[in-house]
Amino acid sequence: MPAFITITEYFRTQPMNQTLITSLLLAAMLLAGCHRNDNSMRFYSEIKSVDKLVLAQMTISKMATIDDISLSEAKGMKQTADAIINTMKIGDRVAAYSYDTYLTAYIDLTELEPAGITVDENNRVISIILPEIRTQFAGRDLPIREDHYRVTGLRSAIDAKERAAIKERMNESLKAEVTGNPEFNDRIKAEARRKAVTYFETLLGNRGYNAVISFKGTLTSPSKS
Amino acid sequence: MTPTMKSKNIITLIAVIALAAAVAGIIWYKMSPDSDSTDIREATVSDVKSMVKLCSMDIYQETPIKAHIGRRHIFARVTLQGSVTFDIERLAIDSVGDTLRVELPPENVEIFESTDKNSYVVIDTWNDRTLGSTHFTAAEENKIKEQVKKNAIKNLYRKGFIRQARAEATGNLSRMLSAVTGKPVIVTDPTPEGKSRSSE
Repeated sequence: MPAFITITEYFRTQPMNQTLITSLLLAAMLLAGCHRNDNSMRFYSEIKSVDKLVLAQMTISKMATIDDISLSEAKGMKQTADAIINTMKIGDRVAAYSYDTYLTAYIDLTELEPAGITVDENNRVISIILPEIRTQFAGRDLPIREDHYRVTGLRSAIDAKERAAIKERMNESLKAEVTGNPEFNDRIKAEARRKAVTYFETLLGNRGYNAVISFKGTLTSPSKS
Repeated sequence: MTPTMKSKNIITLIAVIALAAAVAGIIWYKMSPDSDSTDIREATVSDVKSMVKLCSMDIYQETPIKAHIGRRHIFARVTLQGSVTFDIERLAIDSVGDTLRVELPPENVEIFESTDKNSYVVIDTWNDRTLGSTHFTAAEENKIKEQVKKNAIKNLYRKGFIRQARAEATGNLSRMLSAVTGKPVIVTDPTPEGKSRSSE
């Protein structure tokens, strides 16, 4: 037998069963090679010019704890089974992590229309209709605060992968809370409106004008209280 | 009914009951809540502060993290999100005739981790030594991430994005003040390269 033979020659010389097995193995290898890797390294980057006036920022804290489930807390078969197994483990595994996320309120100055600004020189009054206040997540802290960490006995340490996974779950939960509860947005928008009114009143007051500030989408300007 | 048939029927009945019990057990197990050692608390608002900041640039950047402490290595991917802003709350405005003159304040470059899905993923941790520890403490990981943030900010200066952000802000501030005051506005920039570059 020569040292190198072609695939066709190989299949011709082998028994049927062996050929079938080899074909299946080759197909599996090819499929494995064609499989798309979900963790593929594609790095996206975007630097965008904007024209925004940021008026308020809300710091939202999120905390998570890691602890074994106890028999008294267990509900259902799975949790009870795990709680029983936990009692047999040697040592404790308790930790608490937290971090802050920032929500900002802003107006997009590209939406500031000249028609929304009127100047009455006789009465020294400038009326401005500001664009609608919007909110967005500015981001979250890069570091994670380790508020508590106690891993004893034969228990495994809490590693970087587990911390990243916890942070991801905390983030999902936080976003669901903020989008599901209008109180977060209402509170920061109210603060932003107050600030915008104060800022423009002071700015124009220093130039000898009275300012009347209102916002698109709202009929009246917010009270200063 | 013969005794053999009777015992056969009993065995069948027991088998049916056992099968039904097994099916019920599986359904109960499947329907019972998963065991989770992580408890996520409700979000709390720790601070709301007002400000007047002009934002001229938004940053969104996926970055690989490859770092090591001693023989321990970490490879991760982080999505950074940030902005270049200018505090214009206490802006000194001079009047020269009918024209207003303003100086552009120093920039604030803020870099955070994005709140988008999977913004921080640890891909691998390893040790050069076989059976060596691959564990990174939270403090060690935070230090690495702090360095990533510093590098990202440094790159923004190096690649001229801060210069661009300041130039944009000069135009934006001039337009905004001119629109609300109805007067011509001149905005000057004492440090077009940014505060860090000018102090180098």
